[in-house]
Amino acid sequence: MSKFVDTSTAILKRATDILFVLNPRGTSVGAFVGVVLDGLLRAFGPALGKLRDVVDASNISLYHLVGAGIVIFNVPALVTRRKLPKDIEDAFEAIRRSRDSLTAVQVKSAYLRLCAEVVERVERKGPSPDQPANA
Amino acid sequence: MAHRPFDRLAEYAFLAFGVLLFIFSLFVARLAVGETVFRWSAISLFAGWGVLACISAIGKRLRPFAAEQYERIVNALAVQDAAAVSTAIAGIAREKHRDQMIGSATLAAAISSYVLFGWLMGHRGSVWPVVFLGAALLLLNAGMIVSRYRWEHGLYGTSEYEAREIVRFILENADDIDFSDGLGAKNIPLDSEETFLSDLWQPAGVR
Repeated sequence: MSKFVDTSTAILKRATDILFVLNPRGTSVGAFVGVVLDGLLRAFGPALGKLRDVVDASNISLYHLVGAGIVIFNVPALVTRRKLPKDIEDAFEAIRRSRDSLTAVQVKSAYLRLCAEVVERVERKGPSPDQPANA
Repeated sequence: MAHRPFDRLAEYAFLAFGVLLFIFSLFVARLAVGETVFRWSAISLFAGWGVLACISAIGKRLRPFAAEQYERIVNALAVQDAAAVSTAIAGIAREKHRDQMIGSATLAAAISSYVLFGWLMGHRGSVWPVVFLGAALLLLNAGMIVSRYRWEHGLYGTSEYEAREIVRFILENADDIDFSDGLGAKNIPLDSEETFLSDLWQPAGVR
């Protein structure tokens, strides 16, 4: 597998993830809600004209509504996003610092083995006490 | 499986057809001929057709994501406890596939709604929202194709960003998924650096 393909696909994947704020479902639904709200604002434009002194709906564009929808639908994901435990962060830091002394293959293996270590630790710990035994 | 490359070629050709139809719909939108209703009907026909063709082609590529897929991941990983890691990767793949399908359907619905609202209310909307939403739809699916490529070729999880994704998934689903459930891992031992790598993590407190 060429290094170019590996690097370029990794960058592309990360770029698309970031573009959709790591939440493609929420971002898409936000955009859809923005489009629907724009349609409703246009449909009820004459009725909203009476409120022009308070809110001038004609100044609200589709882009404003889509942007607002995307932000609103991503708020729960942004709020609930948790940091990793400190020891795992330390492990990532250890790999990052030793990158210069390791080959590319060793770094890749290091990340995969870290994942395997986390699984092993999770299984040693077992299910949480509040989880029913037959769940 | 001698026909497999031709199957893939056909899928890519169908996908390219969908993209071309979508682009063609944008050209129709820019044409200064025809009544507004005709123009919007043509745009919605070509854009809708193109989007459906794209979703169908991509969905076909993603559908058989089952045991065969996991086996390839496990074989490609060549890491001890590969079954556990591949179970996690399979879980991530399932979750991302679901998000991608829902996201694609919602974006397609957004494009259709925009076109439909414009047509029903008789106003000539801008073509840029359709371009913007269509580009988002294509990028969402492109991201999924790239992810799938990385899963298939055992590249997934070999960068810090992806390793973080896997670790987060494992921690969040520790109570719901049995990661030890055997998937027939090959348990290929690592080379001589294996011990060295274990030593590397111990000071960091992984164990």
